[in-house]
Amino acid sequence: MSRAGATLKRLSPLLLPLAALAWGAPDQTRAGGALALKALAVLAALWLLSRSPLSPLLRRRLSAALWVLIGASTLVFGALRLAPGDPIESILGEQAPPEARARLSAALCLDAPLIVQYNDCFWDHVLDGSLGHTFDIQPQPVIDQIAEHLPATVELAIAALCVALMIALPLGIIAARWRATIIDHAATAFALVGVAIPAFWLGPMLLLAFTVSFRWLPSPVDTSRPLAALLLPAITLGTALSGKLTRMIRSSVLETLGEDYVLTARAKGLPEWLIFSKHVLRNALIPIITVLGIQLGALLTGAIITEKIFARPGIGTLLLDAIQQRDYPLVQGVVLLIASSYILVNLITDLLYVVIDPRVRFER
Amino acid sequence: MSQRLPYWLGGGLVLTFFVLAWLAPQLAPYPADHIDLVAALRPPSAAHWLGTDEDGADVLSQIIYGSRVAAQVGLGVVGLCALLGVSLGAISGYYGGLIDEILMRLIDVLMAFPGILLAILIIAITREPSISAVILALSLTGWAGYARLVRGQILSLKTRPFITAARAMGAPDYWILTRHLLPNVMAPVIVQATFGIASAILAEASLSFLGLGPSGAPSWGALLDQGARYFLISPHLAIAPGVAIGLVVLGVNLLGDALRDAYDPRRAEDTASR
Repeated sequence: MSRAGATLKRLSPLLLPLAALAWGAPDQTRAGGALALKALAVLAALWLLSRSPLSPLLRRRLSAALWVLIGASTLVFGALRLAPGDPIESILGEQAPPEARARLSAALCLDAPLIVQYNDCFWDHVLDGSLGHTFDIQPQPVIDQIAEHLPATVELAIAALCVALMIALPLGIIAARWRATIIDHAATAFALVGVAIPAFWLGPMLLLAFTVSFRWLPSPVDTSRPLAALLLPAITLGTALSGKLTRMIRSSVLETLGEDYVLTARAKGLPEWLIFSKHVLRNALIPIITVLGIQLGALLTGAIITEKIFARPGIGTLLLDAIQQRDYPLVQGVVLLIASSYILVNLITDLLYVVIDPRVRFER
Repeated sequence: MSQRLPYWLGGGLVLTFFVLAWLAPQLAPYPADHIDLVAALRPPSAAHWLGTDEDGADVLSQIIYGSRVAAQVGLGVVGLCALLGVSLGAISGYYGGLIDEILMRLIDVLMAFPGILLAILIIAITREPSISAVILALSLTGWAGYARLVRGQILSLKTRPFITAARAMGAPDYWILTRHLLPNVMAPVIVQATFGIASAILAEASLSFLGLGPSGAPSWGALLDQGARYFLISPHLAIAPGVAIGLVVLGVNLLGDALRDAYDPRRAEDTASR
């Protein structure tokens, strides 16, 4: 009690200016107080986490993910406010009457002081789950728009991941097994070219070949055969990833082949397929899982381009339309969603890694 | 010699690319603003090696001029990112403490953004961005990778005897950093910067394809986007810029592989990873 009293006494010179500030700027004070409460809640969550019976590694990863989520959200908020260019002017044009500007800036929540915007228009909307409202004649919660478009993008990303793995797994393993042969060189060449081909070039070329010239596949906007329509977008998005993965799988398998336990297995006279399936692949594919988590982010941004090429309704199309219509709340919401899902996927990969590779659990 | 063929190929492609960008006005058969509406959408011919676009502009000339945008963005982004990343990473790794803590948290956040997402966000607000605006937007997250790389290297180097020796001789911090530490971390930075050129060129082309590239410049991505509209009549419009992007990215990546193998020969022997 006496310690608290002493602290209060020491802080007392601060109280007067604070009170003056609250008197002069009630809005800012209220928003600042609300923000402080939220920060306290985060600290409490972190404290609970540090007291939880989870393993230290898990705790560290979870708290890091929480910080990164908050930081990334703040960066999205800041980028939209601080980037050069006036949103009001770009929506209304330069000659807009001041009343219209004032109304729009109130509607977009750009007229309040920054700290008020940050609390009321950003975090409150994130926390109530709506992510704000679209800037439209009939405003809708941003989250509804996202929920409507998200399944198509997730479908595309998963399909692309499957395509990439179906190419890269066999190719990488074969290239490593028959190293420095013509097969290896061909796989390496494929990997290099696959990474270098831009998706926005490959997509139209595939369309030209398979839909226009040969007519093997339906048009991408044909909704009657969804799986067939998904094939070309998935290849477009998955090719660059398959190139990267092929190289990684190849080098990971090569590295594992040099381990002593493989030599032991060979010395025991195990058949080659058993050596590969039981000893080599199990160990070689562990690092690939982390890579997949990181690459999923590239897939999400790549989906923006692929969706544009194939006119698929998804998060990417939603984002581009929102940019076109200068719908800032929607742009902010979509970017926030992509960034946070990327962070969460990376967290899950990290945790998965701990489950799969017991060695990690005992580090530090 | 045949082992080194990919390296020569990469070096050659990169050299050609920079020469094209440098000497574009001399090498392009038509001026940058040449249009001829009568000769619109012509297929490749003797007068127009790669045909003409919807305004009758020569596609080859546009691609040659487009290499300037790609070179500017590639070098600009990598230069800016490397400068920022190396200096901040070195300070962070050498001094440690609070600066290190704050910088690392910031880097965690920046690296949490996938690819060009943050650049898309920034350019969405900046109407008709200039080339330097695009470079800035792409550099915003790009420097974090260099900083993390340099910091890690410095952390492991600064406990080595030659640093202790330099300190024992009374060398000041800036001297140790610039004379002893930085020269030793430059090799991996150069390798990463080389790959960085490829990804910056791809990123700029992607932005331009999405209609978010530098305005008023004949970027390859924008050429592809325009070409895609006349795709069924004149596929050559979309093919040519795509091949240009692909060749440059391939060349830069091959060069990056070569530099990495030269810097770390042990690794070159049995793996070609990444």
